[in-house]
Amino acid sequence: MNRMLPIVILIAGIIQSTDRVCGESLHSPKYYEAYYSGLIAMHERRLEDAAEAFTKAISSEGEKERAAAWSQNVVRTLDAAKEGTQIARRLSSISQAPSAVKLYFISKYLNQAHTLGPAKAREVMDHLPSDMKQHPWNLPGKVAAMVHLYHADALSDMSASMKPDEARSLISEAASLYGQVARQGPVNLREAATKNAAILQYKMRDYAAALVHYLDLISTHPYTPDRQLFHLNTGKCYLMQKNYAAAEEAFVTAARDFPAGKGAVKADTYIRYTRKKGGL
Amino acid sequence: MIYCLCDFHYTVRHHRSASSRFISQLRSSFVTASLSFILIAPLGAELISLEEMTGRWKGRAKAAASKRKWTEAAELLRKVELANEKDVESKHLHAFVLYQAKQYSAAAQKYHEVLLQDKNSFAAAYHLGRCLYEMKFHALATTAFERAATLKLKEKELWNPHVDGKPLNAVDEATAAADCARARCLLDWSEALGKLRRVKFPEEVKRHRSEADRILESLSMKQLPDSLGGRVAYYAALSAQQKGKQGDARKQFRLLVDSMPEHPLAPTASFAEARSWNEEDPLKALSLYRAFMGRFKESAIVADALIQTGVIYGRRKEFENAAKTYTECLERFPEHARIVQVHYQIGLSYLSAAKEKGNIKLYEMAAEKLIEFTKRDNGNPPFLGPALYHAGEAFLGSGQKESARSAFTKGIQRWPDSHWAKKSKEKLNSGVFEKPDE
Repeated sequence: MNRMLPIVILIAGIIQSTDRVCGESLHSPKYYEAYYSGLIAMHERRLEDAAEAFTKAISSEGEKERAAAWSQNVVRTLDAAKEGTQIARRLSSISQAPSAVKLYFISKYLNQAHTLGPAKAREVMDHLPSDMKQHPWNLPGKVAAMVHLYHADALSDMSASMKPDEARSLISEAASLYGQVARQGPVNLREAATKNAAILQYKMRDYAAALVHYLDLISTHPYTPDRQLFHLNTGKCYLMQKNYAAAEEAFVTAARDFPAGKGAVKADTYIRYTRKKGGL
Repeated sequence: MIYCLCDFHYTVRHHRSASSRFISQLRSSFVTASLSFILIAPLGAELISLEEMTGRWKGRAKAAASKRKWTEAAELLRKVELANEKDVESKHLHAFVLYQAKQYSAAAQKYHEVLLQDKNSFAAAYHLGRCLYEMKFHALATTAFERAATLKLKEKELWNPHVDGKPLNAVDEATAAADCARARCLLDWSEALGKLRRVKFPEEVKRHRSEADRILESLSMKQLPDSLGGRVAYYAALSAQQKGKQGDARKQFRLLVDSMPEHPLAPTASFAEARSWNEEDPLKALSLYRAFMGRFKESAIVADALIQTGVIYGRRKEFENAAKTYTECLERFPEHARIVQVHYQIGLSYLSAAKEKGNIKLYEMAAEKLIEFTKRDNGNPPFLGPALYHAGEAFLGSGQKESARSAFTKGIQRWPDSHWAKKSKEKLNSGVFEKPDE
């Protein structure tokens, strides 16, 4: 038995060196590099780069299942995007697939349609089965948020080429989707979503809703370069509501706190106008 | 491995007693195990923990930052943050890297995150102020600097010489640096407010100026290191200039340049002194600009001095000198922020000189320079419309009617409704040109 001791320790040493130390997972540096590069690429919506990175991670020593899961998602969405106009048909044929998969397809296709232009987006929307147009929030946060964003972008683009009356329902739907991302989406998508929601709501003359979004942007994104613009737009919303005192305060903040910003001249003009209107 | 096994057999054969056998076996077991790591490790892939990997990323990020490779460093630090959200040190470094890469908004956000995790971080508050200052968010920057100074003062109150190794004056210097930055911010803020055309904020301007003066005065009483003392002197001079006390400002600028010629703000002070004479005495300004360019040859502000010199020559109708100065600026500082204007002014100055002297060679030179200008930025520079019109004028002056017609026509085709197109049409219809055959 004693003679076996060094061999036992040797084997234990080998196992220990290749598997775990004190319960902590050990992976090759190549795996970490590839996996985290993939995550960053995903975050930045560079899906080709993400797919490549996750493939590298799978071929390296590490937690292959985790990388494979991401890779599968990315590849699937990339495939869907490449399908182009055929995707609507495919969507019909996979109506039994889990909703997350369908939504991935929809999101990516909408994204592509978005880049192809409003007419194509409208074509796609017409082809989508009605049940797929519902986007429940039972998906992983980022995926759902991206689905909503793509959808909202497409709707917003489509509405741009329509007459105001026709566009109203689309704008309203897009604004509601942006609003959902703004409230529930991941932090990195919130600012853009809130901003777009506010813009669309202002367009729809829902000044109260737009105002809530602008006030939210000011309090939650204090260091965004658009901060002065947000104060200006807050002022405009108050102005439309004929709340002249609050409007003036917002315009004064935009001019007084950011006098070197590009919007200072505009704020300057609005202050005079507001004072005149409000009889101040 | 072979060595270990030999060692093991050797041990078994020569040590007979039970206890000594056990000890020697244990010894050889450790030797074997440790050698197995050495011998086997190279055969398989290197395996490490996430913590070790983040440590490596941080090390590489620091190395990249020290070589000013900001993009590479930022990429590595993003990975660190994804792997460990609570790592304040990497967040701080990331913010610094973003600041250096001039991504001020992202850097400010990062410093804000640091402050959320470590609300007493002087460095984060101070650098947040710097980011906001660069973004020209004067109100927010002032607040950040104030917070930084307060944090340092609080630290001073809690400072214990027996526990903290830092000398007390280091704490004072940090507070002074934050105060000095706040004073600069207040001065810039009041200046920007003063430039607003319609709505004025006299109360705010007055308050910011007096607050800046109060800070600078209290700092000037303190024993400060030269770097900080120089900054205080420079901002005090700026403050005097803002209040219209040009004499005092010039004296203070001169004092700074003479007493601390190596200070980073000495070239700026020397330039500011020269510039203060621009309107009052252009000749004196010219001589001061020349002195500045002789003394601070390597400074980046030399480009601005050359531009100012060109402007003064232009005002004095010394157009050829102006053109030469602008040409020097273009050759020496092709990347300067205002280089497009400078390039345009070369041709324009030659054209003005030609018009004044009626010299054909100068017209030719003007045409050449203006056409050269129209080809920059892939043939689409700003001021292209006026540049084509003036090129047409220059060609006309030098007698090259076809080239003139071509320049005018090009301008009209490109911007048919512009002011310059209208002027070009007037030239084309002025009778100078023969009408093309029907």
